Amino acid sequence: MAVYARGYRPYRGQGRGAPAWYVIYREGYSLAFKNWGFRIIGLLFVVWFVIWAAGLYFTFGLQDQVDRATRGVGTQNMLSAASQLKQTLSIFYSGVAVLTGLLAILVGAGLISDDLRTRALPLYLVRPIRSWEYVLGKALILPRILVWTCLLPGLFYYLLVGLWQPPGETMSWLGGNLDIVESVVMHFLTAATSYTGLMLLLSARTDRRGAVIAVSAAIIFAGSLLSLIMARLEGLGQVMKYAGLPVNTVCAIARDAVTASVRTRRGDTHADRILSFIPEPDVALMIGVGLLALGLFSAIRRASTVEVSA
Amino acid sequence: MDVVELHGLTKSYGGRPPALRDVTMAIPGGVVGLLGPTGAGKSTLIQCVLGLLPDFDGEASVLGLDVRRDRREIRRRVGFMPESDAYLPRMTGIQAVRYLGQLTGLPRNEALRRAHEVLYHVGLGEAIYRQVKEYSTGMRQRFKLATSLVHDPDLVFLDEPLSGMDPTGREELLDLIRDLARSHGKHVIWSSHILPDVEKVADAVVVLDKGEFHGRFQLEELSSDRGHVRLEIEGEAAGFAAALGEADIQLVPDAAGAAEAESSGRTAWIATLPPGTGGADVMRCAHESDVRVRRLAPVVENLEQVFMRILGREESN
Repeated sequence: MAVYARGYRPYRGQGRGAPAWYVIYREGYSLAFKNWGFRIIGLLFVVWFVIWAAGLYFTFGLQDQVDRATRGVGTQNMLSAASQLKQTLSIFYSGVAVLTGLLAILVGAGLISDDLRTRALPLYLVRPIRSWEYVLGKALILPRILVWTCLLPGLFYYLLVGLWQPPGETMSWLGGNLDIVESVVMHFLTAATSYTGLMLLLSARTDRRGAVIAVSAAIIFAGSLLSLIMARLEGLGQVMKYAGLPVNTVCAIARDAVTASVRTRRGDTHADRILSFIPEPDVALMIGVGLLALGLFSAIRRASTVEVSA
Repeated sequence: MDVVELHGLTKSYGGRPPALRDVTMAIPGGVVGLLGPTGAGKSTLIQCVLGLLPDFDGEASVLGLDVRRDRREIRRRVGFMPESDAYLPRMTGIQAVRYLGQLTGLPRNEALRRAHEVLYHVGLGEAIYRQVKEYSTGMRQRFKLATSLVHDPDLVFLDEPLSGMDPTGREELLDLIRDLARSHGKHVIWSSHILPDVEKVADAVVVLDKGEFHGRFQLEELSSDRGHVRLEIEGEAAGFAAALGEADIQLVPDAAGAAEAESSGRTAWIATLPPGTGGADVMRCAHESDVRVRRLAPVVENLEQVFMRILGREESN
């Protein structure tokens, strides 16, 4: 039977679909879950999250109930709940930083380079979409994932500790510790902007996913190592923090700086030395936003023509 | 109606010679073959009019819409099947076509229904749930055609649509393209350097070479009598040639038939008859020159011969 005998039906629909950027974002987000590496890291994250939720409960919530039952007074009266939560968040996010870096690399490496490698860009660009819509859709995928790893866990722990407060004090405790929410949000924004910017920038440069993975891994993890080594040198820290070594700043925001906003303890000297190489949360966010702007510009420029692959 | 109009279209890649050089032409509706050897500028031309290569000089319009100003509207009404092997990573056939349908503005459910229809239509009905990267070359060609049809465009650009396909697949796709134009009123612009395929389906052809426009012809006009006749005579050739010359009928030796004619003691020519003259005038001259005409037949060329003649003539100029 000839193919045409099967019949071609004209399209008579009048409905308008979702905006192109939303379609791209939604599809990209669901495709991320097809990556086995993503699933494994996601599972590790869930385990890490449950461990620290349980840790919070056993060291704080449960202890409080035991103390009330045996001594008539809760642990929260003896310890600062906010302090306890900050310690937990600090350790939790240190581990999350590694997992988030891996997730960012796995998901971000193919954002645009996959489309370049499979020559899918003309299939997109021949549709009635603008290049910024294409890039916006791609750029939202990683932040959506980071909402699960960087934003919601911190808020969840915050609410959890709030619920463990004595009856009637939950709202006042939550209201009195909004600085923790602010830190968690800053942490998420810094991670989302810096990782998205970095991965867009690298992914738009080449159609080789492996190269993007290698370079981004080097920047994210070697940058962290570099910060650690430099922190052991006396006297250089303050010089290099802002002006001496730009790559150190960029490296730092990609891993360590994203946890800086929730590192509120500055008790020991070693931690202070490391933190001295990490920009303040405001600065880290500004650098992240700058990196995001650079990544968006680079990706939009790449997506405005097929000339390179022509 | 002309579906594409170009005025002075010029496109260069960096410092290299222009891939398109001051191309001014109009492409009619129906099925039109965009012909030219490799490197002629066919793909560049398509990419320019689709806005994929925005940085070009000159004016261009598609379906009456300005390429620069109305790019989005053009893309709603146009489908494009790229030459290069293109697919969406980690997607099945149905997912990819549905997704691209959504990107053209179709709501999700309608895009899904439409994806089923066009994939079935192009012959991929049994492979819609397979990953596109697992498709064979021929299946990927069909997949690309499906992506270009999912939003029911008025005009479809096909860039080398049959490359890599087996003979049966070629015939099926030719049938499909023919049906799209004849039964559903789609305009098809088909870039190719494989002329016999184009000849089977196209209504007209546009010839490009080295980035320049070389002519536009209706296929029926190309393959029928265009005033050229193949002539073989026995007798005094010089006197007959002079008589024809007086009647403004020009002669050139028929290189293709020369060997056979000589073995029979004949002289073979290709004669160009000016308007108003015909076979009767040739016969009259033969009678006056006392030669016997053994063959007088219109020259019927296939597309490949005409194509080579066009390019050869231009080069000799």
